[in-house]
Formats: sequence, structure tokens, C-alpha cells
Amino acid sequence: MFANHSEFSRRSMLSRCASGFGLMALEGIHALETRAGTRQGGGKHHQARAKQVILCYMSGGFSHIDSFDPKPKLQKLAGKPMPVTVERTQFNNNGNIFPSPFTFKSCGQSGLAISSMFPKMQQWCADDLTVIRSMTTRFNEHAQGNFAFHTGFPFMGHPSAGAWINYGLGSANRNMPGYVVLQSGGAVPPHGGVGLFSNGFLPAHHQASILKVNAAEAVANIQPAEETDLQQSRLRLINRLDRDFLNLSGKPASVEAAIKNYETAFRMQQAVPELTDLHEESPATRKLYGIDDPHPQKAAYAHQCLMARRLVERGVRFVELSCLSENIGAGGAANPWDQHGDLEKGHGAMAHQVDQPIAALLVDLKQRGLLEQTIVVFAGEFGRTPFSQGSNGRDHNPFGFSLWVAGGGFKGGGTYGATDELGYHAIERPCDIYDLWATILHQLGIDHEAQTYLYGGRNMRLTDVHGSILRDLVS
Amino acid sequence: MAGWDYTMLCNTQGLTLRIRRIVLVLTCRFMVLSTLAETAESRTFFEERIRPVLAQDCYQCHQHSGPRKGGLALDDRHGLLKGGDSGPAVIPGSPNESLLMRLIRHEDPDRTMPRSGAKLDEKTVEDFAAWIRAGAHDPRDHPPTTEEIQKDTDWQAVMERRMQWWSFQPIKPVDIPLAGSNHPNPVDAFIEARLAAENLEASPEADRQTLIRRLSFALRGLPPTPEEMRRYLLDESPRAYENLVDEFLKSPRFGERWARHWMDWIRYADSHGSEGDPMIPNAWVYRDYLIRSLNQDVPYDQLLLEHLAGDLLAFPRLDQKEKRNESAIGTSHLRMVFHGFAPTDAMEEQIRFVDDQINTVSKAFLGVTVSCARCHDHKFDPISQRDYYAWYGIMASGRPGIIDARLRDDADAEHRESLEEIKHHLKELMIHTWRSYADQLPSNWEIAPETWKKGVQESKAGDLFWPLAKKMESDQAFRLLMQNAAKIREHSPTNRALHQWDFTKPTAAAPWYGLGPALEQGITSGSWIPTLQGDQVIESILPAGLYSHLISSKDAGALHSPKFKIDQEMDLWMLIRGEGGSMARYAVANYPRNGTVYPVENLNGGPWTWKRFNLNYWKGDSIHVELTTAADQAVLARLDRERSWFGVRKMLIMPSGVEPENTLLEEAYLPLKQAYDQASSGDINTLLEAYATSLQACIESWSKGRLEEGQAQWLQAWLDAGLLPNQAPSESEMSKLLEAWRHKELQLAMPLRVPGKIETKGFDQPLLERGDAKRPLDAVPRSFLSLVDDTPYECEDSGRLQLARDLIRQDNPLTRRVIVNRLWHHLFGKGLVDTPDNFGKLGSQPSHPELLDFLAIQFSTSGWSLKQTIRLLVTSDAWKRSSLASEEAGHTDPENHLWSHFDTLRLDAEAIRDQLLWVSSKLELDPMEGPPVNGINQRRSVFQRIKRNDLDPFLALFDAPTPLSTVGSRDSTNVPGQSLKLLNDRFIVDCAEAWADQVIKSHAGKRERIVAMFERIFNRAPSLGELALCEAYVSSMEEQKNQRLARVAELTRQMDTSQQALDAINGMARSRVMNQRQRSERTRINTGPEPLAAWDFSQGLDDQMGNLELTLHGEARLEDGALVLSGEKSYLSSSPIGHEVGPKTLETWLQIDDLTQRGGGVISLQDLDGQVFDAIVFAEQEQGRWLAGSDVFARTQSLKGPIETTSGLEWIHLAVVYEEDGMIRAYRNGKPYGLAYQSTGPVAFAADQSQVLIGNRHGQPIGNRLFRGRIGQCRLYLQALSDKEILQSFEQAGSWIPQDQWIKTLTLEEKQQRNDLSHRVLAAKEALKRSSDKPGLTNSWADLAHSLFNLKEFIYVR
Repeated sequence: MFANHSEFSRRSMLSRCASGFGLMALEGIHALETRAGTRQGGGKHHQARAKQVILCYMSGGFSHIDSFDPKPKLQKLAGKPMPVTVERTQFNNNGNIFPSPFTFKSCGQSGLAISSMFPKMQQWCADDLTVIRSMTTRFNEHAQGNFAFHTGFPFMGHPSAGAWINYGLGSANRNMPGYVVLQSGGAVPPHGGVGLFSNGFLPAHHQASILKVNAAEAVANIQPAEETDLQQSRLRLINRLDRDFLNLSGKPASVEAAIKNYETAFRMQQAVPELTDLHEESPATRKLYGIDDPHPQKAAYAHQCLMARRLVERGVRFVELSCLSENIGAGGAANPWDQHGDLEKGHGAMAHQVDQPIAALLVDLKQRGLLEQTIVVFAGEFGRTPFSQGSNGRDHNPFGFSLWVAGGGFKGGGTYGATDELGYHAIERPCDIYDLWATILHQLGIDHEAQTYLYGGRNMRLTDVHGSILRDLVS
Repeated sequence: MAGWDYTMLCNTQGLTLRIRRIVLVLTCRFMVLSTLAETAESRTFFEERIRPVLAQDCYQCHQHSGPRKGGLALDDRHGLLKGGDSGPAVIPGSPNESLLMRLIRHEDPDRTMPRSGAKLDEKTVEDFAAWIRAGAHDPRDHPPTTEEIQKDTDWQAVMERRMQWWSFQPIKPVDIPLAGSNHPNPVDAFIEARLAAENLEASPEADRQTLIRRLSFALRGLPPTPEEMRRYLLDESPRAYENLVDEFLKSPRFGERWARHWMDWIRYADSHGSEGDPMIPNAWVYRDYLIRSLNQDVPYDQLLLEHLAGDLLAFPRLDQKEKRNESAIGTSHLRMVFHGFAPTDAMEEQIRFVDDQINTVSKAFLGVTVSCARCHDHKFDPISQRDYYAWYGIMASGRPGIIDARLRDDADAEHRESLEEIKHHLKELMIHTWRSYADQLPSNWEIAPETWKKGVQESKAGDLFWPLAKKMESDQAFRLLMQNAAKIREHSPTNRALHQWDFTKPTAAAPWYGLGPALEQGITSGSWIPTLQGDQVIESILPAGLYSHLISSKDAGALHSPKFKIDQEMDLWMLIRGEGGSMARYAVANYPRNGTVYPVENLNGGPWTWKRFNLNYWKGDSIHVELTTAADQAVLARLDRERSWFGVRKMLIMPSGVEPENTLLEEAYLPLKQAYDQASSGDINTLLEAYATSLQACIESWSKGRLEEGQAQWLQAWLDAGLLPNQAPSESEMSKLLEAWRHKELQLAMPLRVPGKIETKGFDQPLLERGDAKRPLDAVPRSFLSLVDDTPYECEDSGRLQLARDLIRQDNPLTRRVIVNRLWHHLFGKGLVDTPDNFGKLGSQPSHPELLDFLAIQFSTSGWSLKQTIRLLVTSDAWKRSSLASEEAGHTDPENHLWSHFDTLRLDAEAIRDQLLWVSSKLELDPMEGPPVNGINQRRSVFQRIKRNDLDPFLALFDAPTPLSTVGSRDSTNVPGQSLKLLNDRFIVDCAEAWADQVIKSHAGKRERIVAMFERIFNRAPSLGELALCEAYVSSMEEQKNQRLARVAELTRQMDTSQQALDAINGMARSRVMNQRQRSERTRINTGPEPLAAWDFSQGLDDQMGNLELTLHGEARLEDGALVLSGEKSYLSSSPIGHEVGPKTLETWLQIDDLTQRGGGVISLQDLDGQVFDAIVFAEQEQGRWLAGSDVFARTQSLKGPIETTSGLEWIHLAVVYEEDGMIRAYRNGKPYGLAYQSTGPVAFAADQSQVLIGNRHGQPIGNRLFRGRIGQCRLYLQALSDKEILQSFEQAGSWIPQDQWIKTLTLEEKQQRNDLSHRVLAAKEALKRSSDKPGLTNSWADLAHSLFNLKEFIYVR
């Protein structure tokens, strides 16, 4: 009658649950969950195929018809008006049919079509990718699209998928956060801000920790203003004086937890520098990722990819990477893939930035045996129109677009669903972000309908009231 | 028998007292029930109590013909008995063995039913048990049909069942329990009666020091001052505590503290979120309104009226002194919704933001989740989908807007009248002047004065004077124009308009909505506007239409059309004028932002224009048109524009492609046409006469107040041409009147603009099937919730006022319970109902239901006073108790539901931050109002800006809520990020340092200092133990710091000695080269132009020309003969330049540190404000390329030069030349770099108003403005150097000698020596850096202060 999940009782879940940088709070969890809302269901429900997720988020919305969804018909109709009704676009500056300036090639054993934008993916990992070509979304705007992708709802305030996954599984390493967002160079959060990485109404320690991989202070407030011995004297004094207050205040669990926080904080000050130190990485590995590439944005993105591997090695559940802007065709810091103009140049530069580092990440994960347990997702908030915006850009297209998934029990080397011959609407097996998350949760051993949290009078889910598992994608 | 059974079960499970009581009641009923056989009675029992529950809560997932989860179907008898994968659901006769009972009783927390909802209420659970015990009689022998299911789930029946939930029951008068009636405070009577019943001992009263601290934070959000504390401790009067309460309630800090709670309830924010995250203009006025209202203790019912309909009240609350209509501000929170960015589906966006309003109002004030009924009837509460859409109509019958909360009283009306009166006199004088002028107009062109003819010929007033100017040469053309004009009028395509509004007709504006005098004033032709400055009198004479500025261009103005549907391809045409950034736009489904498909026309002067908007994109949607002044657009408002105005004469909606008649020129010609048509002959003098006659006719019409459309424009044309007198002679009556008018106009009060709703005609929203905009069903009349009264509102407008009244009506069971519970929550840390935002089925039940109702009644009968209720609560013994629980209470009531002691509470984020500032004496309490402040500031946190996409990290870390929806109960998390923040954040360190400085100054002895610090931060003296610990700590820190200082001093000494020796060697080598060079330079002829300033950083910081003085900033330093710019905020700035700078040349020798940097300035010439500048900038627009940077790229274009590829090694010479004509040329290593271009410049920098920056692009050293690299030399020339001069300068390399040149001259021994010294300097430097990286706090008192900030006593109150 019910799935058996007694092996993962609430108590054992809590004790396994660890933390974010600065967010770990074993002792505080209990008090917390009775406040904002209550856990209804959670934890693992069936045998998991994967343990971790790496999200390579292509903020701004990359073009599916220029990358993973070839449309030869567009070549034939080049420069002609769209033969079908054109839906409303955000900029309403619609031109005629604009065939892809990139060329496609069948790659790997599987013959997966990948465009010339991604030469390293073509060579190194085509057989690992499962391309979903029939994604749809209800949102045509960056911020709402980003929120919808991350949280299932178009506005701030809801937990991000990374938070839900940590809530369901807990961290596998109590010295590491469960959910980390990486940034380097000038990367910033996508439109919508840090609210995209929020714990929402889930306990605070499920929120993302932002790790600036090449900054002097990788995590906020992680560097003390004084030398260790001085800080230790201070911590001793604090601890001693706190004891009196604890007794006077009736020893509430919250005060006790607040006292213990200081030990954790002190430990974290030591752990972060160890994580960000890349000395132990071999020259071959650095070269594979492109860490020392002369193109600064590519080098910075490669740094994130390598850090992503180091984090999953340490058991972090969810890592999200942030693209850097190349400042081409409306692609700003928050939405670098947003080429409303200059698509060929802009997408070319963005693809160059991420192609080798991501392909290298897959290769590296694979050779270390980590890809089987790690789901890598390559996605943006929507696709782009098959007709031009102005002369050489593309507007947003929420009606049909592509993303890919690799590792973690996904079959690889194939496609799912299809858009029409123009690449405009998803027509075959259309699916949406709820289906993607339902499937990813499934691979992680979580029943997306059963994992709920009572908040504001409703049992909330990552997949809201939607979502079907895309069973054909997984083996 | 049955009764025994259940009592046992409950006891063994240790259920709460409440359940025990219910069981007693149930027991009696079961006694009767258990005697039932399978009779009519048992059938009735099933039909009434079991079937509806199965149908409502189980069928959905467990049915034969649909989902059958767990293999179980519950929709007929067979399914029920057969059971599912885990066996039979029911074992007749044995409830305790029945799986169904285990699941609906939630015995196993991981297996609970119903799955997606709340636990069934106890009564229903026991009904099931009784039913099973009696044999589980079930008449259902086949699964139900759809009709049968519908019957079983009939809403009325469901509603009735749900209305039984405690919170929907009427509030009934309660008696104060006798057991506790000897208590002066009725709250204690209730609390103590329960404690007595449970045999629990209440904790004693907390000590006075604890109490004053607790009270101060609860009421003011700040600690008491040491002075307040001393006074209270010494006050022996029996009313000492009550007096303290009164004093704190009177404090202005009270409003700041409690407004913040209120802001949580209504998800206060200063911005709308989403892409762009635009500010909500003047949202903060509402925050200040809350603070004021709470400080004045405005009754809660009044505040609720104001929150829903403050703008509609017949008798609003007025502040005469501040000239403010307070009530009107109350509705601002309705505008604090999210707004997406340029959504392509505007209706979906509307559904979302209206939902946001419904959600917030219903949760905040009623404690129910009406929003859950958007797509279907509420899953748990008696709220139907119809209820939701009844509210939708109310909320959507108003549009996002700005409203004017300035008090427009009699004095204001009089003020306006007197302005009009003055204008009237002015007009009379002007008419007098014009009459005599018109009489003297020349009648013969030949003898007309030359100046007059010149005026005609140079007229720039369009085409109106051309017939005269051309001396009738084109008489034919002129006549043709007239004829065509007549024809155009006859065949006016306006007939084809789908909608039209002709604002020259008095009734046209009737169905419009708006703000300000534009609508109130109506349509008058011949209105005129005086000039605001200068000696001219008339700014303009206006044709009939609607105007926002007839009294003053300071007035608020908004015009909203009725809404209409775009059901075909159509265009919107508006005949409009305006100035100062007024806006014309159409809004789709009330969406208030702009975007490519939400265009906005800004009106910035110019003549009357037909503005066209094509609407085809929005086919199928409904829109309305908005005309507003610059400051009166809901979101786009430019509040910095104090004056702006618009006028509109006509508006048409036409099929696409049809143009309106061109009425503009024709109309203006009419007066002339009339005069000329009457003339007999067509020579020039006749025409001249016609001009004069028409002018006279116009003057007379104006005088009589009957100016026609064309006449107004004709007069305006004469004025524009300078052919009508418009001067007020000095000292004349006219000029005095004009001055008087201007003076009075200036005094007119500015509007007080607040976010609000522009009220429109009310409409009933069709119910949307499953919440889908594309599936509208019947319209639902606007009304209140059916759980109170859903009689449709009979009103023309939105019904907000009716809704407001229903919120506070006496038979509304929710409002008062919700607010007194909120007050209890904020004082005690948790509510009597511990889900303060949800009193519905998924919420909790009250721990003390009678007390809650007592408080609710007390609240309304004593005038809905928040302060009085707070006073009642904080003067109760329950609130004053110590936070130490008795041992027994700790065991039997660990969650303290019975309030035997006071819970230790974590302070709110704002209180923590405010306390930090307060303790370190940094807190700025004034002004307690005004626009929100950002980032580092020292105001109370309630004034901090709340930008949705950029929430304050400190406040967020300590659980300040995300402004998404009502938060009645904040989280109180414990995450190490908080510890890291308090331990390592600069803000805390700064507070500690500031506090230590004061303590060191004000107290001499160690012990005195420690005592003073404890008193200030914890409102108590330290214990002896604490004193000793702190003293020892300070001493040990002092010692460690001294040791460190000694170490640093020694290292510095070592470093300096080695450095001096090193400099000596380097200097010697350089002079060797210099001597050689000077010898060879003697032979040169051309020495090149002289710079104004020249720096050679191998020689130090001095300007070799002696003109400018440099100051080092940040970590900028001289090292190895160059200026090193690497650290945070490192740059140099010069003294002001004593000359004017026009054409110029900037020149520099440098090495780039890293190629990834973007936008750093190497050498910049800027004005002293840092606003205007010219600079040599690296890689700002294009990675790796140089550019001639300037303010907002005003004089910058891409040079298209090559990209730099090496960093750190190569010395590069760069120069940028700014020529007199704006030409800009760049040079790299003596040769032209990229392409020279023509800029708009050069900009002139005034003498003493500019300076040189080195290493910083301009202004403050923030963001990417700073250059990272090494600079050898810089020069500024006050002239544009030629190609040749640049090359020469590069080749000569001035007096600066690259290191590789002079190093060659060293002997082997010197080299060795130099290496040793370099190493020694380096080693010392690194050691110093290690200790300077973590310098610690300035002194040991700051260390102690910092430690105290990290104590739990600092962030918890007991």
C-alpha cells in the first residue's frame, strides 16, 4: 500500500543532514522545522541510481536550433517569413527565418547531433549526453524563467531544487555544505538574484553557499581579522561567559545550538582553504579543463568545472556553475547567453567558454568512476526563436527547446521528444521542468510526489502539482 | 465498554489534555451508538458521517475506475473489505486492528492519511472508529457514478462540515475563570486556572534587570539605556513597572519596532522583484505611515479600513499640521506585489499579482488562505472558488497607480481660487493691451513697419504666417489648402473609429478615471498658463481638452480610459502635448511596467501631435490608456520631476491603417479663413486685413470666454511669432500681478505621492475554471467570504470599502482573534494559536481558546487599541515570569504551552543590528522617516531598503523574512554563518572599535571599563567571575599585542635598513645611465614641448614640473622604481590644476598586471566631483584593448587597436591626444594605436576644478575603475602633441630609465650585493605581510567589545 521508507526515519535523516558553509546546524534543525512549516514526507523512497547533481546553467537561454536540435528545413526557408503563426515575443522585432550559422555533425557511436559550437563535446562525450528536445516552459522572461527552472515557481520565496535535494538526502559529508553555487571572474547570479538559490521555507541550512572559486575570500566572512591564537583566546572567553547565560536562560536548545555554532564556524575557517587549493591537481588535469587557457572567461569557467568535481568528490549533493558574460548581443552579466543580436558571435564565444571545461568535467568524472553517481545537467531557462530578432539575433522561445542530461543512470547518446520542423514548438512528447526534476529526483531515490513540506496551508513540492518521470530516459 | 476502550487508548498514547476532554464527550455518544444494529439508524450514520468523508477525502486516490493507489479502492464496499497491497483496510468490529484507523489516526508518522491534507478532525476519526466497531455497515455495492460523487461532495454540505472548525465559530462572550479571579489582570486568571488544573507551578517574576531589558526589546526593539535602568531599579513605587510600560509605549521607538512586525504581515518591499527589480515609488511613505499610526495608537479597525479603502473614506483621518490625508496612504501595501518583466501573457501576470493581493490580505488580517481557492474550492477550509473570484473582482477593479495623499482642504481650495483670480485680472489687462495693439495693426503691407514685416517673415510658428510672408504669391495654394481642409472634415475617417473620445466636448471624459485636477477641472477652451519666469506673461493659450496643469504644473495628474478589448487589428491615436517627461501609454491587463511590447511615449515639449500606438500584438487582450505626469506612473514614475504636464484633445481607436483627419493645421486656419472668406478682393492688403480682423475676433472671443479650438491656436501662433505683446512692463500692475501669481504658485503644496489604486468602475470577475484565464465561466458578484456573508456588494466601484467593513464587522469570527493572537505571538514568542497566519484546518488550535476569545472581545470593546492590548499582556504575571522553568513544568510541558515561565527568545534581525549600532553609540535615530537607506548606514534597520533581488545580507542571515507573503512567525535559525558574521565581519569589528574608543575615553580603570561595558550591553553589572575573566582576557590580549608590535617594529627596521642600501645601489646605477644620456642629449636640437606635470616614479612622487602634488591612496606604493597598483582602492590623486584644460595629451609608461582586468584607468583628468573625465583606460568595453575613456562614454569610441597579450613583462608607452576640434588620437610605443576618431569634445575643464588621477578611472575607487599594474611615468600636456612629438617623447623616454637598462651597468659584485639586499627586503616584507593580513583589532578593549558582541546574551533575551 505504501512505499517502504522506514529505513530513513526522520531522526536518522536529521543526524545525517549537514550543512552549508556557515549554514550547518545540526542542533538547530529541530526547533526550526516546527516554525516555518513542517516536514510531511521526505527522505529516500526507493533505490537510488545517483547521489549528486551538477547543474551547468546556461543563463540567458541558449539556442537549441544552433546546438542540439538541427533543423535543415530552416536552411531551405532561409530569409522567408515564418510559415506558421508567430507567437508573441518579448521584443516584437521579429524577422524572417534565420537558419543556424553553425553546422551539425553526428558524433560518437550513437551519432548524436551536436553543432560546431561545441567541438569538444562532439569529440569527448557525445555518447554520454541525453538530449531532451521537447522542453517547454510557461515563462518568457529571464527572472521568471530562472525561478521556474530552479524552484518550480516563477517568483522568489520557494526552495531551489538544490535545497529540496539536500532536504531529501542530507549531505554525505558533514564538513561540507550540501548545496554550492560556484562563481568565478565576473560571474553573478542570473536575473532574480541569490533568491534563485534559496532554501525558501525549508530550514535555512539547505540554502546554497556561494563559493567564489578564485577570490581571495572564497566564502563570505570565512577569514578572521586576527591570527588563530588570538581568535582562540577570544572563543575561549566567549564560551566561558556563554555558559552562565545558558544556565540563567533555562538551557533552551536554541541557545545551546547557538553556542555550538561557534565550534563549527571555527572548523569551517580551516576547511575552506583546503578545498580551494588546487595544488594537488596534476598539470594534465589542469590542461584537460583549460585552467590556464589564455581566454580569461574560459579559464575562469574551467576553474568552476574542476571545483565542481572536487565538491562532488567530497559528497556535495548539488553544485551549480555560473557562466561569465562575453558582453555580446544583450548578453549581460546575469544573462550571458541572451543574444538578441549578434547570435553567431555571442553564442560562439559563450560556447567556447564552456565547451572544453564541461566536456573535460564529464571525461574526468567518468575516469574517476563518479559519473555513474553524478547527474550533470546542461540547461537554460528557455530556447530561442527560429526566426531572427532584428537581423542577426534570436528572441526567447519558451514553446520548445533543448537541454541535456548525463551520468547518474541516464542512458546517454540519444534524444527524447522533438520540436516541429522549424524548431518552434515541441510537438513530440512535450515535457517541462517539472518532468525533468521528477526524473532527477527519481534517480536520486526520491518520490517527487511524496517529498512535501507543509507551508502556508499547503503541502508544497518542488514539482508543484505537476511532473511525470521520463522513464525512457533512464536505464 | 466502548468508553473504557477509548480512554485506555488515549491514555496509553499520552495524548494531550484537549483530546482527553473530547474523548469524554465522545464516550457518551458511543454508549448510545454501540447499541445500534444494522438498522435505519446505522444507515443514516453511514450516510451522514462516513460516506461524505470517504467521497471528499479518499475517492480521489482510491477508486475503481481511476487512480487506485496501493491497489486500494474505497469507493464501494467490496474494495473497502478486500483492501489493497497491505491487506484489508477495515476489519469490521475491530477498529484498533483496522489498518484504516491506524492511518487516519496518524499512528505511524511515515504512513498517514489522507495523504495530501490535514488529519481528519478528531470527531470524524472517532466516527470511523464507532462505525467499524458497529460492524462497518456499508450500503455501497457498486462504485458511484459521476453524478453520485458530485452529490456526495456537495459544497454546501462540505462547507457546513468545515464551518465546525473552531476558528469559524462565532466569538462568544467568556467568563473569567473563578479559580483565577483574584488576579488583577484577567489574562492571569485564564493562565493560572489552567496551571492550577494541571498542577503546575508558575515560575516567579523575573528580576528587574531582566524585566526592563525584556520589556524594552519587546516594545521598542532596543535595550534600555543605563540611565533608564538605574531609574527603574531605584523606583520603589508599586506602579514602577506600569509606569515603565507606559513610558516605553509612548516612546517613538515603539512605532518603529511594531511597524516592522506589521511589515512582516503584509510582505513589505521597496521593489517589485523579477528582472530589473524596479523600485515601488515612495513605498516608504507607507512604512512611515505605519510608524506614525502605531505611535498614535490609531484603532486597529480604522487601520484595516484604511488598508483596504483609505482612499475611499468619506471622513478620512487627516493630519492638518503636515497637510496629509493619512488614511489614503493605507492602501499602499496592495501595490507591494511582484511584477514580472514584460510578460507576453499579460492576463496571466494579472492573475498572479491579484492573487498576491488576495493572499496577503486574507492571511494577514483573517488568518485564512483564500488564495488556495483559486483553481478549485479550498481543500480544507470553508472557502469556495466563488469566494476567491468574488474577491478577485474587488481587487482587479482598481489599477496600479499613484495617489495623492496631500490634504486638499478649504485652505488649499482658497489658495487655488486666488491663483485663478489673479490670472483673471492678468488676462483682463492683457486683453486691454491686445485690443489697442490690434487696432493699430498695419493695413498696408508697403508701409508696414520693417520690424513687423520681419516678424512675419521669420515666424517659426509653423505655416500659419506663410500666406502673408509670401505676399500672396501662392494665393491659389492657400485657397486650395482651405478647400481641402473643408473636404477632409467632410470625409472624416473618424467615422470609422471603433472608440473615440473628443475631449473638446464636455461629456467625453465622463467614463474616465484619474487623479488630480485634470478630470475635476473639466474641459475649458481658452485656459491659459502664465510663465514661471522671465518678463513674458503668457506661456500658452490652450484649446479645449483635458490638462493636468491648468492651476499648476506641480499638480498630480493621471487619466485612465475605460478598458476595452482588442478584438481586431487596430491602432490607438492620441492628440497630445506635454512637457517634463509626462507619459502616454496603454496598459494591458493593468500591467504597470514598460518594455518593448509595453511602449511608453515620453512627452518633452513640442507641438500638438497625433501619437499612434499599434495594438495588433495584443489582439484578444483588454487594455486601457493612461496619460500621466512624469511622477504619477505606478512603476515608471520619475519622482525627481517636480513639474511636468500633459494635455489631450482627442483619442481614437481605429482599424489599423486608417489615419485620423489632420485637424491640426486646418483648425488653426479657421479664424483666418472666416475673415478672409468675407473679404471682397484677394490682394495682399486684404489678406493683411483678414489677419488683423481674425486677431481681433480671437481677442474678443477670449475676452468673453468663448474661444474656439482654432482661435486658441491662432492666438498661440501670434504669440509664438512674437507678433503679440506678451511683456509685462516693469513696475506695471501687470508685472506685479504676475509676480504675485508666481509667488503663490510656488507656495502651493506639492502632491504627496504614494502607491495606491486608481479606482475604476467595479466589475465582476468570471470564475476561471481551474484558474485558467482561457476558461472563464460565469461572473461572480463581488462580495465577502461566504463563511461570514456573501451577499453581493451593491456598489458602482470596486467594493473595497465594503470589503473593509466586512473585515471588521462584529460577526466576523476571524479578524479580532487573528490580531490579538499576533500581539501575543510577538510578545511571548509564540501565539496562543501557534500558526498565526493560518487559523484554518491546517493551522493549530488555540492552547487557551477562552482566553483568545476574551482578548478578542476585550480588544474590540475597548476601542480596538493595540497599545492597550499590548499593555494588558505585558503587565500580566504570565509575561513577567522568569525564563527558568520549574522542574515539573520542564518535564510535563516542555514546549511551554501553558505559559508557566517565559521563553528565552532570539532577537529579530533588526533588533540585533540596531543593538550593535546602539551599543557602539553609532545609531542615528533621526530622521525617523524618509526614503530607505542602503548598505552601510547607521539608521534603525526598519529604514533599510528592501530590494527584493538584493536583500540585506546581515538581516537575511538572521531570518528577516523574504517579502513573498505574510510572515507572522519568523524562523529563528541557528546557522554558523551567523557565528562567522559576528566573528569576522568588518561591520561588527567597526562597531567594536568604536565602542572601545568611547569606553577608553570615558573610563580610566580596567574594572570601571568592564563594568561600564556590561551595563551598556547587557543592562547589568558583571559578576565577580565575569569581571575576573574579562580582566584577564584584556591583559593577555594586551600582552600579545605588545609582543606583536615589537616583532613588527624589528622587522620594519630590518626592512628599512636593507631598502636604503638597495636604493643607494639602484640610484648609483641610474645616475650612471643618466650621465651618459645627458652627454648625448646635448647634441639634440628638439627638446619637445613642456608638460604641465611630469612624474617619474623612479624618482619619487614629486611632479618634476613642480605644479601638482600627488596623494597615495589604498596600498599604492613605490617599489623598484615604479608605482605599484595592485591592492584594493589603490590609486593616486593630484592637487587641483590651476589652469583651464582644453586640448591636451595624456602620456604614460606602464606594465599591465593581468589581462583579465576590465576598465581600469591609468591616467585620468577629471573634474573634482569625478563626474566628467578623460582617461587612458584598459579593456573597459573590449577585453584587452585600450580606449580613451570618458564619462558615460560621451567622447569614447572603439579605437579598434590590437589586443594586449602579455602581462607583467613588457613596458608599454601610451599616449592619448585630445585636439581642439574633438579629434582623439591614441599612440602605443610611439606609433598610432588603432584609428583616430572625431568625438563630440574636447570638454573644457575649468581652472582649479580638475585634477589628475593615476590608477583610477574617475570618482570613487569602486568596481572596475582601478588599474592593476606598474606605472613608470606619467605626463599631462596642455596641448595636443603631434605624431612626431609623441614618437620623440617615446624615444627619449624622458628621464625615466627602464630597469633593464640601468641594471646592465652594475658590476658582478654590485649585482650580488643587490640580490642579497633584495632578498632581505622581501623576507622582511613577507613576514610583515603575514601579520598585517590579520592585524587583529586595534586594542584589547576592542577585543573585549568584540567578544561581548559574540555572546549569546547579546542576541537572546530571557
